[in-house]
Amino acid sequence: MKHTLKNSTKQRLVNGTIHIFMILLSLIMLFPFIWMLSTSLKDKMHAQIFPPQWIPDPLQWDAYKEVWEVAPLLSGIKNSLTIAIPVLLFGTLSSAMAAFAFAKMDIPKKNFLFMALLSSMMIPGVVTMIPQYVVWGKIGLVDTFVPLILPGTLGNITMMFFFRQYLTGVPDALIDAAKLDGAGWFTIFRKIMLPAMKPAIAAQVIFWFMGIWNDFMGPLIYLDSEENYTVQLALRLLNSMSEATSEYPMIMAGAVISCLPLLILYICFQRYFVDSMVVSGIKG
Amino acid sequence: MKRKEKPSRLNRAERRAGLLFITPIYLQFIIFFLFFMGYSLYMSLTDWNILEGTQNYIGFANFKLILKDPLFWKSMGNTLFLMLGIPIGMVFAMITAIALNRKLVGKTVYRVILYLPAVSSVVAVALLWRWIYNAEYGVLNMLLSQIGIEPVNWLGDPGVVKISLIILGVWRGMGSTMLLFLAGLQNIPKEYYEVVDVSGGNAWHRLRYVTLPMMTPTYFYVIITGVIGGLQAFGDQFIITGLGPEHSAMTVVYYLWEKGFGEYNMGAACAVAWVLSLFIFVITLIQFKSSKSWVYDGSH
Amino acid sequence: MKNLKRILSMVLAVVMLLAMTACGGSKEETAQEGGNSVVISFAGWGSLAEKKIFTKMIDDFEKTHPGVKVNYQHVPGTQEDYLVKLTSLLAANKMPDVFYIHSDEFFSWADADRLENLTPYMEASQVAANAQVWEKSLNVFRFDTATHQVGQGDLYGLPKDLGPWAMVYNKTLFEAKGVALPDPEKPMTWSEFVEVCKQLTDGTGVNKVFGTANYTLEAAVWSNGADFLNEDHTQVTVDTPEFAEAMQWVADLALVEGVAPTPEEDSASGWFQRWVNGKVGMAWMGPWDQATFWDSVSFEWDIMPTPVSDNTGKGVSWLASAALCVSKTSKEKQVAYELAEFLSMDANAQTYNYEAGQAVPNIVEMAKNDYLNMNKAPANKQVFLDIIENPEMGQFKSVYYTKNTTWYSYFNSESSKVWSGKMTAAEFLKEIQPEMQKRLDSAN
Repeated sequence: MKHTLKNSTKQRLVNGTIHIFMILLSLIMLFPFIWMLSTSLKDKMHAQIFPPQWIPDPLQWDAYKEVWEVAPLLSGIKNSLTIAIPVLLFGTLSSAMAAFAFAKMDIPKKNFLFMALLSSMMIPGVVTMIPQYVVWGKIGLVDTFVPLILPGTLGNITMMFFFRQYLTGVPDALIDAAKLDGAGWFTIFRKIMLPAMKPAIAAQVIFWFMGIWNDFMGPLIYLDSEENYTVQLALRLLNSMSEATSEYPMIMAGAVISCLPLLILYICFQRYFVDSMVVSGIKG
Repeated sequence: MKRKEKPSRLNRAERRAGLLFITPIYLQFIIFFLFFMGYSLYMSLTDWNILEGTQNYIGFANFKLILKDPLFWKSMGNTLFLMLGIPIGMVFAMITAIALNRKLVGKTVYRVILYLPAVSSVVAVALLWRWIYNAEYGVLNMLLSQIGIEPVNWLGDPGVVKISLIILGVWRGMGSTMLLFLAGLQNIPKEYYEVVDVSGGNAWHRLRYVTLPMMTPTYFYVIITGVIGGLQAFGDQFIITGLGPEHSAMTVVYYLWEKGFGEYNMGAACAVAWVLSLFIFVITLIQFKSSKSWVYDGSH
Repeated sequence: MKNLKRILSMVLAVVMLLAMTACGGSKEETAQEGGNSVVISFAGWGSLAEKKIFTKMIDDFEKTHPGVKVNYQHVPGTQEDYLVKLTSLLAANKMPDVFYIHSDEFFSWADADRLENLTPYMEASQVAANAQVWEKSLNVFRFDTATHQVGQGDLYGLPKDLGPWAMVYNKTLFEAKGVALPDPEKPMTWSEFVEVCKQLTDGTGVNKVFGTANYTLEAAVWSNGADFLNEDHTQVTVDTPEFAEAMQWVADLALVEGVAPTPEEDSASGWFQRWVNGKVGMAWMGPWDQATFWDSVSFEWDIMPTPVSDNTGKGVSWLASAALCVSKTSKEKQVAYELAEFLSMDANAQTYNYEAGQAVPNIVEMAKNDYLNMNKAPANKQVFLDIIENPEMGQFKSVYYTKNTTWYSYFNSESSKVWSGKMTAAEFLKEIQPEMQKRLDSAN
């Protein structure tokens, strides 16, 4: 009795210390975001005063109205989605199919084929970047979304890897039972595997969507005209103004707008992020 | 299932279906990876200049040119220096992961907050930190001056720029490392701790003899991916600092970018990419070899 | 799980809708084009103000050239960003029909045979025959394919404008501090300049007022009788005492005298912001800054002659230009030439351009009469014209004469060792000369 009592006081003490530590850390991690939001709600004058003002006074939304005119964020959002949707739709399907084949089916030279795919993850993207660019140029597809969409629709090796890890945990008995019922492989994939993979798919799709939304290098190289700019490129237009410190409310407003969709998505689905980390490559 | 016996009709159907299933991803692999790897290798052996339109075979001249360029080595040094952020981030991530690996009210909230920076876009974050680091109007120097510390020239001083970039990197990367560690911690079987408890060990013993060694596969994963990613650092520099004073923020990929798009020398740029790949390959190999001596592999 | 499904399908629906509206938008655009019109593309960089002005000028061009449509592609950001974009367009075989090339980059582009020879077009053109433009501005974009020299031979670009880099001062601040205004004709000597700077400098920290913004290195080096390269542009000559003296003088304005921002202060907020805030007495400007100054500067300002070195009595600043070039691969070269010519020489376009505060007109008469007498700051516009006309007062940067520019960009990044006081100018220049020479040799 005495023992447990002592234990629980100790527990409380430990938990209290942890809370203090975590709150401090959270504040440090949040501080840039708070400053971003705070700056975006100031007027030009108040963005540059000392000591720094945490709660803007006067609070105003002018920067948010202005920024849409300077940077084509609206068309940027549209363009980013136009790229993301086909990639996510077809790319996820293709990755899931491959993962299923590698996890549950008998294919000749399976291990070799699988390792070859994985090895490509080690080679930096810049190696193929320039030749790819030139070839897309020769075909005349630079400044279109094709170079940003087409490769992705064929799949994503990281995603495939995660799916395979996940599927190894799904019992073979399910498949065998379906086979006894005379189901073909496509049916098994569609009716059994896809539903079984749902949580993994949810997590990976969100991850990949973030990757596409945040991609900077690809659009920077491939897209020329302003009407084709993705969110990140539109946002970058604001960078050329950062020489003038008085423009920061507007720049920060742009930053807030570009981060908001992802932040919301993340906060809604944060559980899947943790899950996806758990199934991730650590075990394999 | 006895799959290794002579292929039956059923088995052949399975193989066909399996190959069909991996066809799209293999198409991508062959077209967008293998083919362009070959292309890039060939280009690195030519004097491919995009402005002049030349494309002649010149052997290893590009590689010689790069390896003799002090700027290449400087950019390599910068890139390696920036990777100091990996161990720093790991230490912080480990401490927070251990702190959060228990029943705690508000645990989810902390987890969400720590991962927020990783979710935010590269450009937005770069713009934000450029503002925070501003030597005169930046909030960081303002706060420092309030506690009596001289202003620091975060982005303009060649000795400080890289430290500023490391701080930014740790801030952004810590959350995902922490999630990985948290997942790793949850995979440690409870029995191992019980063994320590039974033999009279305290919290330190639990940490020293179970937690830290059992987490080695996770460290390994974090280090490998961190190094591969770190060697390709480019975005932050490109937006926040440019080359930096005295080329102090020039990374290898930035060097490649300058060669290709600044000097029109695409052949040399491809060569840089290959030197970088080779470097990554060697480092990864060394890590794998050395991992045998320190990574826990399931046996005791 | 059900919840997730519902949310996902909702997100998907919204996204599909957006994508559909996006596609719809582009369809409308293509429908509006068509007909049997000629479409040419034009690329340039510059400020948002410049974008606005050029959009208007292009509108006028389309009005006077029925059946021609110009796609204006404005690349935001710096000149470097623009070059990267142009390079990638080149790699993709998507060169615009007409595009800017900065004088610093002209050599490499002309030498690579990417630019159309404009001499025949110009000889056949009535507009060009009538328009009297600065001789100098045309000569900049000549290239001799036989000798590989710039400044002679046939014409490969028409001048967008000639940009003289002049010293500007805050008149209101001078008067408030009781400092005598700079003489509009007689330049200050360097020692007088430092004295004036000291009188203007005041305060500390964020509120410090500096006598001068960072002093342009070329203006100091040339005025002191030194140069980056030798006469035929094959030798790097930065390791002379005159060069070192000039560079040290510039560095000491911040390090010793404290009248100019240190690199640290400069990285915090650039000269432009300080100037607009009235926190700097003197700075450097080009004509393209006029429009922005009219809009955002609330004090009186004017330009003054380049200060002269005490040693030589000379004051030399730089002069730059951008060419309107026609791509060698253009399918509509005649129309492309006409657009370049219109932007460069058309009287109405030129009037519009200078009235909008973007440039000194290319047409000599217009510059010397209408522009000079325009009732807007700066009052002393003659300074701009002097730098353009008088080789003793203005010259092109050394990179203009060399095919590769890496020797110069290398110098610029490394020179912060001097600006921060880590090395003396003499030490630094001695150290960097061989490396610069290696880079200069590598491409020529």
